[in-house]
Amino acid sequence: MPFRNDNDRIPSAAAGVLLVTSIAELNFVLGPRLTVEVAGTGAWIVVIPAAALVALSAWIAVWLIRAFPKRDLLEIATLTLGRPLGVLLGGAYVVYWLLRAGQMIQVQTHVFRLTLLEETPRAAVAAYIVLLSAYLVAHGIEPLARTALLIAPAHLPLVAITVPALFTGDFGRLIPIGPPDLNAALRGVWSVFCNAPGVEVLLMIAPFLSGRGSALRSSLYGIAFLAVLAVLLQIALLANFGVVNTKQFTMPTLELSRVTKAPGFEGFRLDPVFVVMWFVVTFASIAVAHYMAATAVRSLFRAGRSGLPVFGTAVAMLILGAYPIGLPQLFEWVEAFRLYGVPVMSMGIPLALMLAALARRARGAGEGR
Amino acid sequence: MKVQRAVRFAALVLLLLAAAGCWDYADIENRAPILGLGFDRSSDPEMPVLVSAEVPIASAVAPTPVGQAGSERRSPKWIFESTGATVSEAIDMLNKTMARAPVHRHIAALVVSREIAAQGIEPLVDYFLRNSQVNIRAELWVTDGKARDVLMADPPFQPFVSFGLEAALLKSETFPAVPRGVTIEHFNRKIGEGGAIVPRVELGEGELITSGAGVFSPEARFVGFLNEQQTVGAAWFLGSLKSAETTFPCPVDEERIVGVTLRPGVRRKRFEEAGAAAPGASGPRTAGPGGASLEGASSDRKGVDGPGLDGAGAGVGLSVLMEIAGTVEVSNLSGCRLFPWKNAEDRRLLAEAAARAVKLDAEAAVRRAQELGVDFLGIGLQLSRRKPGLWKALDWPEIFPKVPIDVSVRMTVGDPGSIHDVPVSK
Repeated sequence: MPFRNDNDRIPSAAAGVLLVTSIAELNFVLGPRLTVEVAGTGAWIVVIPAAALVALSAWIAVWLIRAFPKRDLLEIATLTLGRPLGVLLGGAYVVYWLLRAGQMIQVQTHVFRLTLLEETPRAAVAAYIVLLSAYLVAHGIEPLARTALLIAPAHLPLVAITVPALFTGDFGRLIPIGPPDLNAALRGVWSVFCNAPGVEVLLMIAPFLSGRGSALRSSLYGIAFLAVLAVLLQIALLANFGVVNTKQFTMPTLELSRVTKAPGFEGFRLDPVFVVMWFVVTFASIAVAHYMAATAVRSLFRAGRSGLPVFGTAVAMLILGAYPIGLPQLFEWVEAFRLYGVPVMSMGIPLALMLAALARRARGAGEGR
Repeated sequence: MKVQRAVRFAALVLLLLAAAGCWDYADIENRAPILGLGFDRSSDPEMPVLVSAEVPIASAVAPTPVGQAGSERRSPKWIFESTGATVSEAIDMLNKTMARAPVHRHIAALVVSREIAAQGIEPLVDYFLRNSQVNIRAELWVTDGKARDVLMADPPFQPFVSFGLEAALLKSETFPAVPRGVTIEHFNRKIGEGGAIVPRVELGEGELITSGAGVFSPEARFVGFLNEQQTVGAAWFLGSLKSAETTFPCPVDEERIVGVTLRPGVRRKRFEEAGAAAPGASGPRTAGPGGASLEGASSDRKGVDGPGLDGAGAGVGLSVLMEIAGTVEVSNLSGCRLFPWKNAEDRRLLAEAAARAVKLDAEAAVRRAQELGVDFLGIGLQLSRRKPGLWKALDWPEIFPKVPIDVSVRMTVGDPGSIHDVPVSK
């Protein structure tokens, strides 16, 4: 298993690509409704401060990377908090990444069942996703980063439905401009931030960064790219559906893909194209979460070059992803999980590690100075 | 090692078999794509919904092989019928007479009879919005007759009525007597915003006639039809046309009738509270640079009694000013001695006359909306966006039919749109 050998190196610019892959997942499909529910017509504006929060999380992660060169999240936690707490945090992150991967598989298989493959059992689709992910993860970070880069054009269908929708929308539906009040604005920002998980990927790929270029700069470019897409999508959704209808659709982006007509494609349905291409984006996010979980398990159990961590986590993901659960219950669970889990895991714990490192620095102890 | 490789190979083959998505596979000869659905009221009170489905016969529309004489013409479609207590049941019951599995992803047109539309089509909208396997881009039509008869028609150019209706909507932006197509999702949104208009189709002498529109209330209930002038007026009001042919008396010789094609470019609507005694503005305005401008004469509805926007009687009405900048392309001067290319004053006269024509159409649409009590023009919606304070104090559905609404049109013409400037008659 080619973990941490000399060929397992990625340029710093790949950090941005993997960050985009990790954050994008299903959020463009699930997130807009949740934000519109709390921020109303201001749902597109709140994306901007939320993107700043995500950028702050990325800055914290890169600060830790620079303070602890060639160390990953678990090693940094062990160094700053001690072995017992480090192991505990490592275990928590493994559970978190497996749950995230399981949620993504659950939602994706439900979307396939609803839109394309009515008869195919969800478990079969889940098995397919997990096996592909295991194959990719077993080959290490470099192929994973290349895959993430190769699937970047899969974002184009989102652009292809958003831009024509901007022309067919009624921008009067964005009035009154901005959230109804400060409380709604803050809840909107929080909603967007909670639906942008995966910043901690930077801390897991840190040991593989070759050092060329700036991981922070490429991360900020990636966040800006996602923020622009999210703002345009929210505007397109509000202009086409208004606040009331956007809230009614469980997956408004999917509905937009059902009604949008791209110039030159009259009569051509875009929703199957969008579903399939967005699956590619989601699959890459699943693989990144899988990679992080497998790497953490390997580190926790000191498994060396064994393949067991990859396939053990794959089995866990398959169970979580194929477990029979209804879509409404799944959505409730996903929403609650993200509301509390994402802020802690993306920003809370890295911030605590940063503070602990600063305290160590103040004491002049070991690494992290 | 050999065993391990064999296991891997077997796993791969199993994976290909299990997860290749073929669980849903069905041969084309076992499927029946539905192109259009018609909804009528059945005579059976237990099963009040009668559904008709237009299904193509592929072999009947296949091109004849070269060198082979065409045999006698065969109908290119079947019309299947079924009834049910609900829309979903009626559609499901199509399976009783269709040997193949119906496929709903290609539905292009939904024709609703007046009879069933008057009861409300909310169940139909609900069915389509909830069902991910149907095409929610299917466009709605309303007919005064039977939807089934419309689907049975044999339209020119197209073997299928549904495709013919789809094609008819493509020209709505340049022939606004046919309103813009309304998908199920669009319809749902528009009724939520005050009301919707749906294109009308009728069967006359065996031909499909597409013009005019049906009006639906916020409860998705059909309340009446719009004639062609009202439909064109609604298109002007809603900004859903690219060009419109219109005629009006020659500004310098009322005996002659002028034909022009109006191509609006920039359009803007202004909504103001207006005293009923002096609503809007009247009389010509000064010409803008490079063109002529006009503000149409004020409405004849001055001083109409009604609750008013102040809610206290006939005191305050609403003034709507439509500002249109575009091209008046003279298509037929018919002896009217005007030279719009050479003479700015002639352009101004043409713009004035065109604005009056547009104003007549727009007023007809506003009057009809008030008669029907359905704000399908979105006047209340615009008011709520521009005057939210005033809007909160209004009971709009109550006052809309009676509030005095004054429509003015100001048209700015950049150029006469064609290269000829010589009248044929001398």
